Parts: sequence; structure tokens; C-alpha cells
Amino acid sequence: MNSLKARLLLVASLVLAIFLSLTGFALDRALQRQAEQAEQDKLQGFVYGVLGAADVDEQGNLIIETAQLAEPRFRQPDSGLYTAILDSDGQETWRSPSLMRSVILNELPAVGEWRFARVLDQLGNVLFAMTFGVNWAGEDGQERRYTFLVVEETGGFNRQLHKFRGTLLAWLLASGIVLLIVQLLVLRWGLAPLARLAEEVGTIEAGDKEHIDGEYQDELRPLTEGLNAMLRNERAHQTRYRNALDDLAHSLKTPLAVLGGLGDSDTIPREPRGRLLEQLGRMKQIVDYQLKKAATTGRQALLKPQPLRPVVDKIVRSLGKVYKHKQIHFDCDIDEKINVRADEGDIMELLGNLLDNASKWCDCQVQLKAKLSEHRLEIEVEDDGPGFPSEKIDALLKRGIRADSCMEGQGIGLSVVAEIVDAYEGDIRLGQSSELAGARVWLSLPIG
Amino acid sequence: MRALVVEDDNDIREQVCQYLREHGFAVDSADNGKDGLHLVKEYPIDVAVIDLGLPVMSGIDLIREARAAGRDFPVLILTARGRWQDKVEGLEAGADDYLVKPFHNEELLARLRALLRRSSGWSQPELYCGPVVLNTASQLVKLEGQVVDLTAYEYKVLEYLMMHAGDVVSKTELTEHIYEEDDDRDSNVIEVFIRRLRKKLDPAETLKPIETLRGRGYRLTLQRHSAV
Repeated sequence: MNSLKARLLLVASLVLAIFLSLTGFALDRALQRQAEQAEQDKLQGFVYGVLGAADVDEQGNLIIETAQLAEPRFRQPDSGLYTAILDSDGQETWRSPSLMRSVILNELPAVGEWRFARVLDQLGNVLFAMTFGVNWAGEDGQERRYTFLVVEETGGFNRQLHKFRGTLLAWLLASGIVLLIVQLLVLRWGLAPLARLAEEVGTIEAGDKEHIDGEYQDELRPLTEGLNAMLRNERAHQTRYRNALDDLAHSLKTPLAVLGGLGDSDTIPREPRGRLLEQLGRMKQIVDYQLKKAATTGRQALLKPQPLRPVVDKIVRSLGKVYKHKQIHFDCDIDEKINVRADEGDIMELLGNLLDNASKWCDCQVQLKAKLSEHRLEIEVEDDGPGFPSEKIDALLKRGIRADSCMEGQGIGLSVVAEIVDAYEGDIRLGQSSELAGARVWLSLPIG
Repeated sequence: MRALVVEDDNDIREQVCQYLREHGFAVDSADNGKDGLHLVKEYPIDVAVIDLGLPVMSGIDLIREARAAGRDFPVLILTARGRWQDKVEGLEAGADDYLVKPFHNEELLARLRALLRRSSGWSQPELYCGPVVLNTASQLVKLEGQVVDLTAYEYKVLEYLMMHAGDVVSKTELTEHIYEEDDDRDSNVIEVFIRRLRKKLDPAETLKPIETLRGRGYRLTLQRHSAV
């Protein structure tokens, strides 16, 4: 669950589902209770009607003249609404013509008590039953205990309830869907600044912008301000660092140059002069190497992808001038579309050293191939020179160069290349060129 | 040959200037880009050594301005950082070669001579014209295999003429490329050098290596050729 939107949507949907279920449940309960109350009231009304129509017959039993019954359903057989009068033993003294079966009553109500319950008939059907206990004074003046019973089948009630539940479910579903849509819209609107921020960071990454300049909500402002401050610091730090390196290079190399010049003059005897020049040479190489190593930027966030071809073209033009006397033929096979995410200085240093070495050692031909495969830049530089001495191949790439172990004529070029490749977490291999029979350097960098 | 050295560090500049003078160059120098540009525009420079990190006007800008003003003499840049980005920037601005500080004066001299040769169409350190061979590295001149003993100024005049073999070179041009600005110059001295060179290179007066074109200057008549 990596998307904020999905998280919020999931939680909100769960809450919505629980809320709607509870609402549905509560409404259903309330309505059922309400309906039962209405049923109860209705049956109570029937009981009063029946009470009003009751009279004592010649045998002294309490009965009702059918014609006296106001509700026609009492007269229709199996109409679903029935009434009866029971004596103190629970035996029927009278029943309405509509009642075609017997109803099982578990308990008789006390005198003056209303009792509403669900009862069963002999077939097992559920019926609503309202019973009312009375003492009825006969003509002899003796009071006898009777129970008035009104029973109605539950079918109508259940149908109504079912219908209501259907309506309720439909409305709840409809409001659920509407709420879900509203929620989606709200989420989109609420998370829009984040999407905008992501887009803006993208443009900075692409190098089209220097910093975040959009207006953002209070909650995001600390983030955008922090990012801007970080970008500023990073740039300022790099500038300071480069300037410090420049100063260091200048202040170290100028006295070295002066000392070297003194060493060249004949005023110093030959023997100490040789040692002086040798030590100066070592110092020069160490300073050169360490400065170049320190100046390597390496992998970085927010580097603008830039085309490789123009960088190579510049270096080739430059080397063409420096090695004009050799009339070198440079054969560069680079896709115009290759872009690399690396510091331009690093790429120039890398290719400059490789192509300079190749130009220095080649007979007349240097070949460079570059291609991108799975976000890795693969570069191959070959020449038609004598090639690497096979027994020294490992030593050539040794990082952390020591001047006294440095190869004659190789300079620090390959060690610097190895440093840069290492800073970009890439691979480098030296070998023999099969095409040009000279040296071959292959490297692969994750900067595509 | 007239060289320009633009370098802000006094020690290095003095050293380089002195070394180049000892090896036959007339040297002009400046310690900032603006003064360097002034010299470039005012004097017939043959080759220049320019530091990239100069005050007032950077070495890159100086080279650009010089090229924009139509000055096409070879330029060697000096860089302290030695990063390829700097070298490429300098070479793209119009420089022809680079040297990373610190450097050996011998190497600087060799590079400058190579640049000078290349700019006048010679690819080897030896210049061959007729029976005369001039080695720019050892500064030895041979006539039919025999070493000819020349003074420093006679060598400078011959070198300039051989670099421009076939071209008419005026007395003023020779003076400007051989003498520094503050030297006492007398164009009559050039005539003396030419006379001595004719005597040393053509004792039998059969070769006639240097032709005088009245009112215009001199021309080396010997044909350029590659090594025999």
C-alpha cells in the first residue's frame, strides 16, 4: 500500500461501510419496533370493538352476534384476522367465523391486562395475538373470568417490512456510492498539491528549474522550504569546494613550478639537481592525482541528464589540435540520443584521459563506442598502438596511486579514470583490441 | 621568434621569460589578461604562453579576443588544475596546446618550437632548405653536412627566414620578430646579419640563398624539402 490516495481511500471506504451498516441496522430496528407498535395498537382497537359487541347468551356464555362485528374481515373465513373469547380455563366460548383453526396460547392475561405476543397456530404459522383479560358480570350478577383474543396473520406485516428494507437498502447503497465519489473528488483535490510538488521536483531533476517556486499549503511549506534550502546549500557547497580546490591547486602548483624551474637551471650541481627534479616530479603527480580525485563529483541526486555526443566532440576536436602532427583518425560511434546523468566535468575528465591516452599511444587510429543498455552507459575506447603490457594490466588501474610505483609514460590518467569509475560505482576493464590490435578500455557506468 | 608570456605569478613568469630568451626568443610579458591583450594587438607575436587563471581578464577571454582580432599565432595554455574541462575550454577558445603546472622548461620550449614549426608548415624539428639544415631543437645549422658556426642573432634571422622560406620578409618584420620592445634597435644591423649569413652559407657565392628585393625586404630562395 504505497499510495497515499489508496490508503486514505481504503480507510475512508471502511469507515463509510461501517457507518452505513450501522445506520441501516438502527433504522431497520426502529422501524420494526414502530411497525409492531402500530400492529399492537390496531389489534387493541379490534379488541375494544369486540368487547363492545360482546353479550351473554341464554346459557350464560359470553358470545358475539356475528352481525354485531364491525370489521368485515372477522366474518370472512380465513381472512387472516380472527377473534375469539376464552373462558377462565382457556376454552373457547365463542370464535369469529373467520377463524378456521385453533391458536395455541401459552398463558392467559390477568384481569385488566393487555398482552401482545407472537403465537403459533396448529400448522406452525406465526401470528400476532392480542389478549385482554376481563371479569364479566352475568345476568345472575355473578362475575366470570373471560379472555378476549384478536389474532392477525403476520404475512402483511412481513411483506411491508420486507418492502421497507428493500427501499432502505437501495437508499443506503445510493448514498454510499455518492459519498464514495465525493470522497474520491475530495481526495484528489486534497492531494493535488502533493502531485504538483512531485511534478515540480521532476522539473528540477530535469534541470529546467533551480528551485521550488510554487505556492504550497501550510503543511507542505516546511518541506518545500527545506528542499530549497538543501538545494541552495548543495550548490553553494559545491562552488565553495571547487573554489577551494582551485585555490589549493594554484597555491601548491605555482611554488612547484618555480622549484622545477630552479631545478632546470645549471646553477645547481648535477647530482642534487637530479634528486630535486625526481622528488618534484613525485610531488607533482601526487598533487595532481589527489586534486583530481577530490574534484570528482560522483553520483548525485538531481543531476540534469545531458547529451554525451557534444562532450565527446569537444574532446576529439581538442585532441585533434594537440596531436595535430599525428593526423589521428578518430572514429566515434555514439548514438545522438544518449543522455547521461553525471557531472560534465567528471565525464570530460573520464573521456579526456581515456582518449588522450589512446591518442598518445596510437599509431593513427582511435575508436570510441558508446551505448546505453538498461540505464548503464557502456564505453569502449580502442587504439592501434602497442597495447597494454599484459603483465602490468592490474597495476595500471590501481587506485590510490603512489608516484614511485607509477608506470613510466602512463602518467596518472588511468588511475584518475579508475577513481571516477569508482565514484560512480561502475566497472572498468582493460584488454586487447581485437579490431585495432592495440589497447582496449571498456567501462560501464550506471548513469543512463 | 617573438614569444608572449602572460602569467600572473612573478616567479614563474620571470623564469619562463629568462629561459625563452636564453633559447633565442624575443619575449614580451604581461601579468594580467588585459595587458596581455594589449601586447597581442600591438606587436607581431609568433607564439604565446598564456596562463588560464589570470587576473582582470581570464586566459580564455584573452585567447578569444586575440582570435576575434584575427591573431592566429599558436597559443599554449598553462593550467594549474589540469582538469580536462579547463583544457577543452582553452583549446575550444582557440589555444593549440596545453601544459599542466608545474612543468619543465625544456618541455615548454619543445612544445613552443613544435607549435611554431607546425604553424609554418614544418612537421619535423629539422628544417630543410636546399643544402641547409637547421635543427630547431639543438639550434645547429649544417651546410651540406658541415656545421656552420652562427651567432645567436644570425641564427634567429636564419630561423625566421627558413620558417618563412619563399615569402618576402621585410627588414621591419625581421627586427620586430627578433628584438624585444625595449632593445635598442637599428635596422641597419639586419643588413649586417644578412651579409654575414650570405658569407657563411655561400662562401663560393654560387648558392645565392638570400635574395634582396629592393624596398621590400629579403627572401630565402632555397627550396623547402623533407629529410634526405
